Amino acid sequence: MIGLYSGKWFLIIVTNSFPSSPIFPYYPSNCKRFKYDYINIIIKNEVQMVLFELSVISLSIIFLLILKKLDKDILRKFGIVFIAVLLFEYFTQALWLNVNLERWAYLYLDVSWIITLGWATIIVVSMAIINLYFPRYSERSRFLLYLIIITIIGLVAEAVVVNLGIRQYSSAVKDVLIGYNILGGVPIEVLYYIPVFMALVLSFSRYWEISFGEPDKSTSTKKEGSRVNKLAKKKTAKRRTKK
Amino acid sequence: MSGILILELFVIAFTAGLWFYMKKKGYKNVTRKFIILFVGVLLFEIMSEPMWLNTGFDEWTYIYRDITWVLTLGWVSIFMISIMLVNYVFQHFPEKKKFWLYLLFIEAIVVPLESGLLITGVRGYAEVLTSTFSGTLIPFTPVPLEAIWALPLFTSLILTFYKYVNYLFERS
Repeated sequence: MIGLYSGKWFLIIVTNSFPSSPIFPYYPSNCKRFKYDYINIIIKNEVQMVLFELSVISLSIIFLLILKKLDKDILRKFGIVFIAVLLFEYFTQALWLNVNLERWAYLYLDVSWIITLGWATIIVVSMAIINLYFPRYSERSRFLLYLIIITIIGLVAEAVVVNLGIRQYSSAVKDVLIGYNILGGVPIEVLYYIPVFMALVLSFSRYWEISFGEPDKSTSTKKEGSRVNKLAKKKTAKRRTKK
Repeated sequence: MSGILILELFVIAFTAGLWFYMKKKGYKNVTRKFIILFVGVLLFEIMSEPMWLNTGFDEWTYIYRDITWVLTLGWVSIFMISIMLVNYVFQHFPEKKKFWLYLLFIEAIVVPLESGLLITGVRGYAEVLTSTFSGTLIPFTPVPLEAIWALPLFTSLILTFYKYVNYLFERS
């Protein structure tokens, strides 16, 4: 069974030097028993991580399959959100530490595509829920609702990754924190960070969704829009004169 | 008058000048556009504050820790100029293509400016960031090579924020 988790062999070899290993703070009376428990803890953590990763992947697939029935463009939307989250995570990777995940879950340094997948699913599902229940609300009101629901779900997700030991914060971030935690170890500042992060990610995804759906009209300013209209009018006038 | 004060006054005057120019030329909702960009840049700066060091500015320019509103204004001007230039030179291009040109223009303006700020010592990078650098610099500048791809990444988030929030206002 241990052989399956070859990534952790090194740690197990270290425990073989027990009881002289400096890792352990005290010497238990039954060394063999203690070593056995320690290996068990490693395997338990490893299994926990695999379970977490598989849960994120399967939940994403399940939600996408459900949402595909409601929205035919869901894969494109998901792709845009995934890119937006990845951009943000890549850029701010020095601030957050995603540790203990399997090697295959990492893309670059400690940027993990599993975490990105999780965020993208939370965002896409939250947007779908709001669009489903509040279709008549204005775009602006829905944008605020997206932010609220994503902050709530994101806070719970952050608590899960913090308590599993996956999410840690760099020393530079810890220096800024006031030290008040909620939900078992999540810094209170997350209540500010998630909406800010989401405001940027949601804007990115909505901008590209609109750009793909309604080119030029919607994302241009009035002045730009009028220029485009003028050009379009000129072109049609030219065509008419040619005819 | 110290060099830093000259820099601060120049950034403020330049932004004000740009605002007047746009008003004069008939651009619509100029103040709103400036505010949206300012908020977008500021949100990102607060979020990524532990990564940067802005030192040596006068006390009245600091908002929170080492975030200065003068540098935020500077970023706003860079964004606005890039958007104006692209919209003017490539006005017939579709929005999707113009987006990439915005990023290119911003990069072209920012690299020399960042270089200047690094040389003068008012701009620096925190250890958490420098530890991830390869150590290679952009030729003839003290700017890390990573800036070449990091800049378009974060500016794309701010640009889309600006464009989308503007769109929200225009729709209402």
